[in-house]
Order: sequence, then structure tokens, then C-alpha cells
Amino acid sequence: MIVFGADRKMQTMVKDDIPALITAALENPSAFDKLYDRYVQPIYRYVYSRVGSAHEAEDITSQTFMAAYESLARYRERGQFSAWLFRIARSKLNDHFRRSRREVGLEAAGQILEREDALGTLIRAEELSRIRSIIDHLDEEEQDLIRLRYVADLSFVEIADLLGRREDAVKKSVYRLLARLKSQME
Amino acid sequence: MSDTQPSPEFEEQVRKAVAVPNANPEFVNKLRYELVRGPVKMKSRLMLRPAWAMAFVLALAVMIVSVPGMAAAIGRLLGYVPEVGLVENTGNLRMLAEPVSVTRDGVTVTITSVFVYQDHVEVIYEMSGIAPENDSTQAADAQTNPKAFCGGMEVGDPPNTDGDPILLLPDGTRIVRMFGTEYPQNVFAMKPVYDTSIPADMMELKLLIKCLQWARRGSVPENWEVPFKLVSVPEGTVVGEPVVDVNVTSEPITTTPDSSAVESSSPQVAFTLERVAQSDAGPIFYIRLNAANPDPAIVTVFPRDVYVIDSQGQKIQLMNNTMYSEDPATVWEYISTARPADGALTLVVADAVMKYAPLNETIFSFDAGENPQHDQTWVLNQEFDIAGYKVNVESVRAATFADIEDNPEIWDPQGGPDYPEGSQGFDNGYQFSIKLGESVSNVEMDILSESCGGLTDVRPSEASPVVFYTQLCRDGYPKGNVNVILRKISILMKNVGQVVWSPDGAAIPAAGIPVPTTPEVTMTLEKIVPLDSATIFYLSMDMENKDPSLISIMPDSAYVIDSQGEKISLRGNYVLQPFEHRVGSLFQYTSQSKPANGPLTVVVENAVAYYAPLYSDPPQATPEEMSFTFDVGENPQYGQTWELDNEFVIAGYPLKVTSAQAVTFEEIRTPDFIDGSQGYDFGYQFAVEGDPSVKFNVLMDIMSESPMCGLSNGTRWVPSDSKLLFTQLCREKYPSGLVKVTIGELSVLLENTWQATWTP
Repeated sequence: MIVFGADRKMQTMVKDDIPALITAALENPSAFDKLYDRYVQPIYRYVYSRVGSAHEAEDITSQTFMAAYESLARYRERGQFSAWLFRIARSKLNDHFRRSRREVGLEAAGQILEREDALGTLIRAEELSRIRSIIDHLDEEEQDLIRLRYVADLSFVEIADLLGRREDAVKKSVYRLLARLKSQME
Repeated sequence: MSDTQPSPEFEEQVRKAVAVPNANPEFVNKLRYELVRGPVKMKSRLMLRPAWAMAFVLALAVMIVSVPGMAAAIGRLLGYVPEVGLVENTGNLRMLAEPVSVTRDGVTVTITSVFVYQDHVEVIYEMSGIAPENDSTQAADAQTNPKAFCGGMEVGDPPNTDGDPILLLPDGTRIVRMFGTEYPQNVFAMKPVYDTSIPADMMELKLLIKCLQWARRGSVPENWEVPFKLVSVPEGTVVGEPVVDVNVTSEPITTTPDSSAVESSSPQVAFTLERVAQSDAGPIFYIRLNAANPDPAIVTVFPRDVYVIDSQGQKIQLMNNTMYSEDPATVWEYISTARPADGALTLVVADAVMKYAPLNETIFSFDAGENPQHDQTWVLNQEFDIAGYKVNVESVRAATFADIEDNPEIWDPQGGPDYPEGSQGFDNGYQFSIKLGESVSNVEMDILSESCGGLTDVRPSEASPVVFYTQLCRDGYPKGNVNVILRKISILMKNVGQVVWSPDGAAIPAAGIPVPTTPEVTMTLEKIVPLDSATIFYLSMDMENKDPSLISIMPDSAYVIDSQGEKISLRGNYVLQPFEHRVGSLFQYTSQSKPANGPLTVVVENAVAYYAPLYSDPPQATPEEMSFTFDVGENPQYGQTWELDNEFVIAGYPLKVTSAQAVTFEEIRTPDFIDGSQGYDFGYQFAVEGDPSVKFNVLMDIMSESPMCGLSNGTRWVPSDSKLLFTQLCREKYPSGLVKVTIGELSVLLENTWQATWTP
């Protein structure tokens, strides 16, 4: 087992650091902050894309990490830590939606950014708008794939682990989805 | 449709189309500190903005008070500095004269704390102003291109120390950060410790930083020099908050801890409250556990559940802030998770764990033969006595990975695979059925074979206190004579002890825990906004002696009575979402019509208190404490019922889940389900009993990923003579096998009327 101590220098994190960081966090709760730093933005973005509100996203992100922190001892060093963390986030989102019964589509989430990113990008707004509109008409599972891949920036391995599917099956699903999007764009 | 990989350009378009903003850095910092430090108030001083950090250090300077009399009384000259910990002034101590910041191109490096001891130097610094795309904790390419960032490396690379700051002494000596394990904070790049002595006349040093840790190389200013000055701390002074030596040993909470049932001379555990420091957020306790009759078989003893009860009867959980150690002399630092009320505090160590290792090798063996088969079982009945604690290995069964791949003890909110990566080649092994003696909570064993040990699984059996301990091996089942070693056992010591401590310094062992008084709920009319057509009211609700798991108190209905005696309904302008309306927050109400001029009396009829031990801040329970399981078999059928007997206590309210029944959407269908079942057609309905004098409701979750469960329905405020029924439905089919259910929330109807009158 790798022990993340002073002999092991703090480096910019690559994935293989994760087990060491988990070990460190189990030994010293203060070390949880490196895991947190690695995942807080992907979790937040994913949650934001589901709820469409910074306030709610902060609340659910907080709940997610609080639960993860509390339950870290139960995490086994197997599989993807990110998948475990995202499972917690999705559970918190379920709690949230059970109470509020309101979920935003990706179209809404995208528009929020558009307002905030007033300078625009090289890609024309109409094109983005069309993509959003098509995505918004995908079913929930397909939208979730898009969120996990392009909002949370999870790898195919991580998504597969999270969804309990094979990596190649996930990759195929995403690529088929994109092919469908592209054909609808044309 | 094509499976062809999309072009990067199109992927980028999709990414932009669905892009959302990153989290606000202030929120990120705040949550980080709540996670790793608990809600200690200093976090806002140190982390959020350099200006705040500066205020903190200035405050620190003010806190250096010359108190020789007090120091003499205390004897050790210890102080407590938030973020730093205990600072001991044994003479020749120097510290940062004032905070120092250097800003270049919008990026600021601030040194917030320096302590120069006789043998080492501790520094704390922080950075701000780095754009997200240049910060590897946020940048999109951090994973794919780690070397683009300061300190980044690929797997297999030698350590990259570019981000480590170097201390430059006036004589040109350069000192690098130490790499021992003596100072746990040293694992943080922002808290380097230097293992050196600094000559007494050197009071002006520099911190040299080649590149800022985690910042993009070439895009953020590099080669920093941050000069700082030291000041001497005179002898006889205490730095930070004074720390009071206490040194009082606890009394048992009950006269017979659980372990006393053991026949041997097993030691009773007590703890000593060694010292207490006061911070803005509450006291910090330093405790040491000790066994009354030390046994050489004891490996270690460590606290597991520690809390205080304040003078108002409020229970406040304490959080361990000490790295795990098996050194029995470890002094554990516990910090408050909330500020207790003024007055005496009862410090309680509720649970502790004591680990024993047998003094002599404890090896047993069994003959698995030359061709062991799955499920083949050998009766062993090997009883071991370790320091008086009994463990009986009753039998062993040849097991495979399939036998353990789903473990109900591994918490997973969605019930996903517990070993998602599969067996990794550890496919065959042995599952031991072990009867744990009184107070034994766990065992550690190993099959003595080089091919074993990669995958170990412990789970309860239905016949508690028997547990199944499985260890799997590579290359098939070990054959012939299989040797197994029992390495350690864990003993759960309950009700360890308590001490009453008073801020005036008095501490006495205590024998009884104060009983919380009955909560009293209050309503406060906070603001009124008269409009042309209506009036807006803002009110809040609070509870005295509230349980820490209380999330919210939400009014049930409200109205206003105007000066003409007319009763006008108030409409709540908020979402019925307890987590959005924490205790004390404002509820906005708008009157249905314009009240007459003159005094207004706002009336709230009934309210609901929401308790969520898992989601309170800090959590008041672990998921396993709020969960139960029941086995529905592989093919549960509609109408099938399982008798249950699972008891819980939330905020003092007892709950008992008495049964579960397989139901369908038809059982709960009402016009409220405007979208129908949405595919959630199969699930379980739970009967829950509570205190008959309390009208309550619960929210429960079936922890299942496949099928996914989500649609819920519960009877609301059941009459006192009937059970509450809570239903959760799942997609496509009934969850099968061992079903895990977690109680997420308890809501209690507070039947009362509150009113407040406002006079213009």
C-alpha cells in the first residue's frame, strides 16, 4: 500500500495518486482536502447541470462531500473513486428532486452559461443553441451520459464504473449519441 | 448509426453547448475548510481573502500577552493557534512579525504564519489570483498534461520539488523542506516544515518559490521571493489562546462497561482530559486513553465517539484532529463542531476501540484436501482466548468471489457493485464463520499463503454475533493443510467515561449525563414590508435546546389578523424544502389582501421540525447507523411481507420499522401523481411505529442502483393509534436479495400556535 506521507511529494495530481490520497485521508482527515480539490469542480458542474442553480448546486455539492468525508472509511480501494463520489452526488440529487420535483434540462444549464459568458466563443451561438435543443430532447439517461462525459469530464472508465457498465459499451453509447446529434445538425 | 469516433471539433462544440460555470472559489474554500477542519471560525480569517488572513495575523500579534503569572500557573506555556495547533513557548521562540504579501500580475502570495522553534521552522502561506485555467485543480487538461503544471509528474517520474518553497537565510544558506513524518501538516505544500535551527540573530528571511504549486508553468509568475521578518516571543508569554492543563481522569458513565462481562481481568478504559484550549469556535480538548490494568496484549486503544453536552443540554459532536497512531500514549485532539453554550461542559467518551494481538502466534489449520470444491465446508470449532476475549472459528467454507461481491456492509448510496473492478484474480478462497465473544467487534486473520490476502471481506451473518470473514487467493484454492493466523481482535469499549469541565478551569469526573430539556419552539416576526395591495411578512422559527440533527422548522399555516379583526391568509413564498430553510432562516409570506392600517398580529398554526442526522452539519449519524437490511430472496412476489424489528432513535424520537411488503404503484396511486408511475412500478411499503404521542413522518431510501428506486409516498401525520406507512418504488422490478434501506429524514408535527403583534 502506498502511504502518502512526507516522503511522497505533493504533486499535481494524476489518477494514480488517488489511492495514496485516500490512504492519507484515512490516516489524517485533513488530507481529505486533496481529494476534495480534485473532484469538487466536476461534482459541482455535474450537479449544477442537473439543478440549474448555483445555490442549490452548492448545497448538494456540500452534502456530497460531507457524506463522502464521513463515509470514507467504508470506501474500498477498488474501482474508481470518482464513481463512488458521483454515486453519492446522484443520491443527493435524487433526494433533492424528490423534494422539489424540478430538474433542469441541459438546454437551461447551457443558457445560464451563455449569459455569464457574454464574450462568446468562436462557435456561433446559433449552432450551440441547436445542439442544446437537440440534447434537451434526448431521454434522461442519454442526457446523463452527456453530462458525465462533457460537463463532469469523466473518463469512459469512470462512467462505466459509475453506471455499472462496460467501458467499451459506454464509449459506444456516447459516440453513437454524438453521431446522432451530428446527423440531426446536418 | 455509426460508432465512429466523433471529431474533436464536434466534441468541443458539445462541450461548449453544455458547459456550466465552475463553483465560486469562495464556496470551494469554505467547504474545504468545513470538511477538514470542522466549522472552526478561524477558517474565514485564514482562507478566504488575503485581507482576512492579514487580520488574523494581526489578531495573533495582539494575542501575545505577557502573562507570567498565568504561565506559571499553567506551567507549560502552551497556546493554541487556529490552523497551527498547539504552540509551546519554551524560550527562544520567534514568530512572523506581520503578514507579508507579494503580488505580481494579479497573483498574490501571502505568508500568514511562521514559527521558528529551536529545532525546526513551521511556515504557512497561501496563494490567490490564479485563473482557473491555470490552476491544475480546475484546469481541463490537468489530467492529460500534468507536467504543464508546477509539481506535476507522470507515473514513474522522480519527485518534482519545483513547487516546494525554500528558506533563504541572510547568510545565503538555503534550507529545503523536511521530508520526515514528524509533522503531519508537512504533507501540505502550503505548510512546509524545515528541520533546522535558525541562528538567534537572524530575524529577516526569505521564502523562495520556483513556481507556485499546481499553477500552470509559464502562465503564472515564477521565481518568487517573499521576504519576511521575525519577532522574538518573550519568555513567559503564551502565543494564541491560552491552554489550560487539566489532567483529570474520567469516571465511568456506567459502573459496568460492556467489557466487564468478560471473565478475565480485562482492563477498564478511562480517559484523562490533559488540557483544554479555547478558540472562537469552542474548546479544543486533549485527551489520552488509558487502560486501568495494562495488558501486554494490548496493541492500542483509541476513541471512536466523543462529544460534549453543554449547559443547555445540547449534544455537540467532537471531531478528531489527530493522525491515527497505534502509540498508546497518543494524545488525541478533539475540536468542537459547534459552539457550546456558556457554562460547564460534560465531555463524554462514549465509545473506544481496543486492539489486542495474541502474545503467542495463534495459528490454526484445516485439511482442505487435494481438490477442494466450492461450498465444501469443514467444521473447525477452534476457540481462542485473547486476554479473556473469546473468538470461536466455527467452520470454514470454500468460497469464490461471487460469494462476496455484494457486501451489505459496504455503503454505497445506490447499491452498486462493491468490488467494481471484479476479483482481480483473487477468485477462490475460504470463508470462515466466526463467533465473536462478548464485546469483540472485529478480527484480523490471514491465510498463510503467498497467493492469498489480496481480497478480504467481513460481513455480519444473520445469526449475530457470528461474522463471515473471507479471504480470497489467486491460482485456485489453497490445498492440503491450510494454515491461518489470527492476528488481532478489536474490542468495542462502550461508555468509557466523562469529565465535567468548566471554562473557569475546574474539572471534575462526572457520573451522570444531563438530560436535555424539552424543546421549546419560538416564532419571531423579523420584518414587514407594506405594499399597495398586500403586506409581506418575514418570520423565522427556532427551537431551544435543539437537537443537532435538526435541519429546519417550517410553519404549517399562517395568517394575519388586522386592526379590524379580519383574518387574512398568508401565502408562503418559498419552496417546501427543509434544506433550503435552515433553522433561523427567514420565511417570506404575502397577505392575500391588504390588511387594515394599525397593529397586525401574525399567527402561525403548527409547524414541522425536520431532523436529518445524516445530512446535518456536522452529521449526527453514519449511514450504517441509519440503515437496515432485509432479505427478500431472489424472486420477491407482490403481497409478500417480511416482519422486521429495526429500531432507531432520531433526536430522541424512537422509530421502529416493523414490516416490509412488496407493493406496486397501484397501492399509492393518487391524483397527485400527475405523471403516473413514470416506470416506478414495484417496491416496498414499510410500516413504521413511533412514539404514539408524536405525529411524525419519515423519508427512507431503498439503496439500489439496479433497479433504480425513487418514487416515494408516505402517510402524513398518522393518528397516534396506527402505523406510518412509507412506500418507495423502483423501476422495472423489485430489488432482490439483501435490500438495504436508509432513513434519511424524520419530520415531527409541532402542534401549537405562535403569534407576534406588530404595531406601526
